[in-house]
Formats: sequence, C-alpha cells, structure tokens
Amino acid sequence: MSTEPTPHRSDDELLALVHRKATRIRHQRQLAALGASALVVLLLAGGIAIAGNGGGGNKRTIRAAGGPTTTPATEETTTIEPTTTSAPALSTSTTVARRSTTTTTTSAPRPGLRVEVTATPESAPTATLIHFVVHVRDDSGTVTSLGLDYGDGMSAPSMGVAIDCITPDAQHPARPALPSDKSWEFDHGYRRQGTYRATAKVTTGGCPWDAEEHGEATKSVEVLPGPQTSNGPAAPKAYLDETWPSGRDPALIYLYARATDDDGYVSHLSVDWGDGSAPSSFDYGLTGCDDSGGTTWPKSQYRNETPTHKYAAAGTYTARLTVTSVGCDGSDAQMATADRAVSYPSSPPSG
Amino acid sequence: MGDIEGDDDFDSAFRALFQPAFRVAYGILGNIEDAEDAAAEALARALVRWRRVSRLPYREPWVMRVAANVAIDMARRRRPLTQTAEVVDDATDAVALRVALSAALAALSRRQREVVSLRYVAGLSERDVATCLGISVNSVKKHMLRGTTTLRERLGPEWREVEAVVD
Repeated sequence: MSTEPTPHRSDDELLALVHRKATRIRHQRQLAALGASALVVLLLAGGIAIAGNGGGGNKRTIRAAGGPTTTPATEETTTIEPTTTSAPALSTSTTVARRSTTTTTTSAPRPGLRVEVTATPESAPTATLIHFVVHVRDDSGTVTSLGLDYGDGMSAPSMGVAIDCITPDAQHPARPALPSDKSWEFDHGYRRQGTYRATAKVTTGGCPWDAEEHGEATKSVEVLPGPQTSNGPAAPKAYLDETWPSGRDPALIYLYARATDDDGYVSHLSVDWGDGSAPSSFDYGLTGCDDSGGTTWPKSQYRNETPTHKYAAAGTYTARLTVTSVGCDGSDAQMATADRAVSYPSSPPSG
Repeated sequence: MGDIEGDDDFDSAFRALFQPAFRVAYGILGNIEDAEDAAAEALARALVRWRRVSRLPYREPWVMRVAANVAIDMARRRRPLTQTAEVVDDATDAVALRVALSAALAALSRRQREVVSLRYVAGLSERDVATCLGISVNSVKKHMLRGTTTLRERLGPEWREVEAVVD
C-alpha cells in the first residue's frame, strides 16, 4: 500500500484483546472436546439396525449392525467415553468422544445438513500424511453413518453410530433432538502423484421414524512427486558421430559419443566398434549424482567422450554406442543406443 | 492448558507479529478497526497453538496467512458477492477497489486465496509464500496464475486498478 496503516489501539490494548480471544478459543476447544451432540458413537462397520427395546418403556437403542448393543441411557444423564477405531495402512486411528444422552423435544422441521471437508496440507509430496477433518452440522439430526473416500481407491473405515431414541408417545411426541456439530479426523498418505478428490458421505437422522438426510462434500488434494532416489521416467539419449580433430592420427577412427538424461545419472558409456574387438567403455562413479538429497530425480546430465580405434582391415563397420543411466542410488538402469556407419580408413568430409 | 505456558514468550513476540498481520488484514478489509480485530483473531489462534507456532521457522508468514483468511471471511460476511459489480462500478478510490477485491477473493479456492493474498496483499515473495504454505514455488505460481485469472475475469478492467492499489 502506498500509505502504511497503523492500528488505533495501543499495543497493550491489542495484546489484551488477543488474550481475550485466545481464552474464547480455548473454551470452545474444551466444549468441542466434550462433544456437543447427544449421542452414543459406536465406530463400527455396517448399517443401522434396531437392536431392541432398551427398557424404560419407550426407549430404544439403535446401533450399527454387528456391534454391541448399547446400554440405554438414563434419562437426563450423560456419560462420556472415548472410542477409538483402527485404520488401514497409511491411515491413523481416530478418536471420538462418545456421549449418551436421552432428551425429549417437540417435533420441528429438519434444517439442512451441512458437511465440510478440509485437508491439511492441501498439497504435499507422496507418502506425506494429509490430515482430513470432516465437519458435520445438523441442528436437529444425528450423524448415523460417515465415510471418507480418499479418491485413490482407499477409504477411511466406515462407521455407524448408535443413538438412543425415544419412541413418540403422548409425553414424547417426537424423536429426540440430537444436534450434530462435530468433526471427525483422518490421516491418509497418497502413494502416487496426482490430484485426488476426497469425498465424505454422511447420513443423519437415525431414529426409525425419522427421514434420513444424506450429505456429501469433496475436497481436492494435490499430491506432488515425493522423494526420489531412483531413475526418472525419461529415457537417456545416445548420440554417436564421427569426428576429425586437428592433429589426428590418420590410422585411427575418432568417434564423438554423447549421452544425456534429463532425469537420470549417466553412469556408463560404451562404444562397440563392430569388428569384434573389445569395446571402449567409460564408467562414472555416483559421486557426481545430484538429486537434492532425494527430493527430485537426478539433475539433467550429459557425458561426452571421443574414443579412438584402429581397425585391422579396411572396410565399412557399424559402431554402436550404448548409454546407461541410473538413479543416484545406482538402481533402475535405463539404456539407449545409437549406431554409426564408419569407413576405414577415414577421411574428413570435403568442404 | 499446556499452551498457556508459552504466554510470556508470546507476549514478547506479539509486537513483531501483530503489525504484519494487521497490514495483511488492512489490505483486504481497508478498515483499521476491522483489521485490528482480524489481526487479533489471527494472533489469538497463534497463541493457543503457541508451543507449535513459536517453533515454526516461518511463524510470521503463518500468522499473516491466518490473518488473510480471517479478513477474507470477515469481508465475505460483510459484503455479499452479488454486490461486487455495483461496488466496482462506483469505485473511485482504493477502498472501493479493496471491497471489490475482497469479494472477488472470496470466489477463489482457499489455496488460491491464500496465495494471492500473501503475494499481492502482504507482498511476500513467491519463495516466502511457498514456505509459509508448505508448498512448492511452482505450486505458488500455479495457484497465482489460476487465482489472478479468476480475479481478472471477475473484476474486468478494474483488475489493473486493483493491481496498482495493492502493489
């Protein structure tokens, strides 16, 4: 900006404001840790099924199929327990506070369901764990199932959620209000470079007399090339030509051999003279290989050699250059060849 | 909370962090009181994570990024996107253009918004933006290109004026 703005308030006033805001954030965190929704969370695979009457007359426990039946909560009491689910390879476990509460409310129209997915970082190299947060808000509904598809063929473990419901009757005319405003966290590492769309699918509602609502949210993440110690995908290139340096020995053939690799280390260069004699070989140690500590493919590189040879007899021969490139760890060899017809004895082109 | 243990350390770093956060927020909001509030919110978020943030080699850009996001959210709540056209039509000064820019920024993806805000509004170099966001310089360039293309489309001829104002 052309003029530098300055705050109106003093440093002390602003610092006090920051501390007040920080205190508010800490309180919000503590509340979030306790769990805002009134439900029992069971992190179990499968759909929702009625487990049976929970006793107490009008209470029912709804649970994920295959999971244990929850103990019906006593009305107006709350229990909070941590529940942990295991995760597949490259995904970490998720811990969610679970809470069982039974409440009674009157019926009200269901407001819209809101689902959000965030990813941190949104762009990362391969094998870096990306932290996903699925935030679900439904002012009058409870999350009954939630899944996160990472977009690379892997998914977070689907989860079902058990809810204590109260059957509508004269005293309890409608299902309990079980507001959801919660976040679920997942970590996932992508194995390959690319852009992926992670999709969260959420169902809320749950009590058998409720209409379910379905929500979905997607988040794109960009996976960058990760640490590379092997050879890059581009093949090396070989170039072979005859040359006539000044002061040359007319009894010799001089070839100009050049090898390049945009993303590999040229480690070996060999010229087969085409007459059955031993080839001229050149080997290069790996000490000059630069892949920036494994963060990139090897830097673009070239090698030039001018081998010479004396044929035993006059004639036309086909010389072959063979080039080998590798990664900085010496692995993943790639090869390329180039042929050149040479006449012996040789004479430089006229002009 | 363990985070509170670092409050003294935070207080001593406060002045150095608040000014750049305020500058970013002011560049987006164009209002000193709102910018103070946005910068204070960013600093508060840093404070509750101070044990981690204080160790970041790029903690100042971190705070600037948060300030930019807070300011854009504030601007978005204050100015519906549908007002953009008429605001720009009436734009005769930098404040109006800032309003147009804030509204247009809200149309970008979060990453594009962060990159454009930090590069254009905060004046960070591409390398600093990359360090701040934990992405490569090439990614910064890519998001910059996409973001500024969108802004150019949304703001039309006013984009050049915005560039002149925020430069």
